[in-house]
Amino acid sequence: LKLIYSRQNEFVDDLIKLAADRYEWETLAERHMHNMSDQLFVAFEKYFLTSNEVKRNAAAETWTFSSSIFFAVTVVTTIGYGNPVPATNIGRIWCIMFSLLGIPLTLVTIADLGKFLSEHLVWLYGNYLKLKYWVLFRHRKDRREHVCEHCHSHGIGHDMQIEEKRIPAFLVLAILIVYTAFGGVLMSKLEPWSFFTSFYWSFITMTTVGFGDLMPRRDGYMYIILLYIILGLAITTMCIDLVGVQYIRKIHYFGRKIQDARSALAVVGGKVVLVSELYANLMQKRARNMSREAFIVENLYVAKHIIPFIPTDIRCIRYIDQTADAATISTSSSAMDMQSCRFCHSRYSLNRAFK
Amino acid sequence: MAPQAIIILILTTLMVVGAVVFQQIDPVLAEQSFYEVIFFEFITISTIGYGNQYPITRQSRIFSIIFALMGIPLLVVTLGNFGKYLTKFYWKAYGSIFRKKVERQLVNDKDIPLIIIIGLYGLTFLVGFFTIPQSGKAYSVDDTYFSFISFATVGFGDKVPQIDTFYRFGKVMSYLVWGTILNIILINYLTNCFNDLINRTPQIRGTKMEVMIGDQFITVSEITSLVAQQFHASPHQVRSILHDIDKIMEDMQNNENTMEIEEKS
Repeated sequence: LKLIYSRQNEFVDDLIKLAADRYEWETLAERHMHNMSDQLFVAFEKYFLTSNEVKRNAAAETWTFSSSIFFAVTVVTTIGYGNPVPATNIGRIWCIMFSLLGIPLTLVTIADLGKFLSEHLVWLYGNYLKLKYWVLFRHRKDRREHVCEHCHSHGIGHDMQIEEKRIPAFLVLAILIVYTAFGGVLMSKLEPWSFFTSFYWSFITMTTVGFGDLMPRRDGYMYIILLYIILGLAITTMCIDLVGVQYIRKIHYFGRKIQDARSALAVVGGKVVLVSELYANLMQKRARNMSREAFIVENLYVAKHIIPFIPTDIRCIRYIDQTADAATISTSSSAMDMQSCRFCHSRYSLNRAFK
Repeated sequence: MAPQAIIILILTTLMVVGAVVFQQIDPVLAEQSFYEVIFFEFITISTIGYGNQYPITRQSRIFSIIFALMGIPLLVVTLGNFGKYLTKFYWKAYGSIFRKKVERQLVNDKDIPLIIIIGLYGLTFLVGFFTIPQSGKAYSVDDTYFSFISFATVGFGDKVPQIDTFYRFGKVMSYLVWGTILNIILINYLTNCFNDLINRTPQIRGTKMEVMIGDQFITVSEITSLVAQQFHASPHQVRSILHDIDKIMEDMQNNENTMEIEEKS
């Protein structure tokens, strides 16, 4: 900045001195203009001065404590607005180191937060389903599903149900949009933006795109905004996790076609495992151990940690697998529905034969 | 590979359609060439977001929101899968080169060792050094800085790649895609490290634990009760058996480990 001003002064001095000689004036002016523009460009490019700051001859302090915090958050969350940015090489190298360490840490934290949120969401949704069921189906007890004797004898009745807790994509999307809209309202209060601009800003931020065409001012409200951003990131992570990946996994699944249980994907904990691979792994262990017990061990072990994907129309599929004549399927499947029990997924007669 | 192909197909269609729509509704993007708009879309859905191109009009902003909603999960899954393939490929190559039998389980679960990742990074930076022009000074720290900030999808936008010709566009795109995949692997590795550090590998414990199979959620307690029926035993018995089995498996594993150690020594 000082350089710019000294150049400017030189320029003006020369102007006054050489006002008489026209030719020299021209060349000098050209040279100084070039100098000036060079300096200015360097200033803009390297040190990110704005024209206002040049006019006022006072560089706004870019690296105050609060703006540094803001910068750090934008780096580790990978939003990266691009204002402020490190200008020196040391600053850049430090920035790389910092993000190398900071980004995974932040990811872990935010994923944790997202998981926490999604667990609560699942719980809430489960309760909602129960309520709905209770309200709607209290009086319709005659339309029960068939429960086989065998299951009855083990004390499993109609009131027990395997809940299917899958959150509809619509709900998750609604949450995301409501949160973004909330951000829109918040930002249109804090910033001189319209509601829609704020909405757009919060979406671009939540998804960590961070174009940087719109930036929040960094003043007292900054901490509120940061809080909003971090919470929003957790929510977005949750949403993408719940909806996007689930749906895409479905595409995966159908791409594979339903061959058999071996190619089914099982999600255990947080890992996607092929059933066949796990099975093979267990078989290896068994072969090594050479014990007869191991077979049962393996069966049970598989049963505990993974159960092959059970489609809702398991009975039909099973039937297709077992017998080749397709003609009987359509007629028998409904009868099977009546006969089969949804808890043990097996036909009554089969169970009898087992005994 | 087939499902992967489907996803890529959808992604490509989305990109092309998106580019056409963007050129229709945004005056600034309309002036730019087609591949520049594609580049903008990629920058958006990879969440790099340099900010040298951005939507201006209201319609194009709405459209970019919708576009990002669809595109981001798609790209995340695609790149993540590529990362997995790369890891698998590495282990297979490793197995064939050193004639060591790598267990199948290893191929799926284990990460590429850090040294290799760093080596790949170095190689990539070297390639980027010579081929990828950006607005900073060439052949300097700027290159590494630019590459890293892009790969980590921070994307400040103070250094932007130049894509004035189609050839350069291709180069930059492939460079960025490759780098992002590499970065996903690295971040995965570091995340696992942190998880190990605080010893928080996802534990499968407790009867209330939910297991997701296909797309059904079942709690472990329900599974045990199912198993109990199949074996005509009470759930309690099954549970105790399972505990025994767990112990046996653990012992087995320990035995194996000690055996291996003994064999080595």
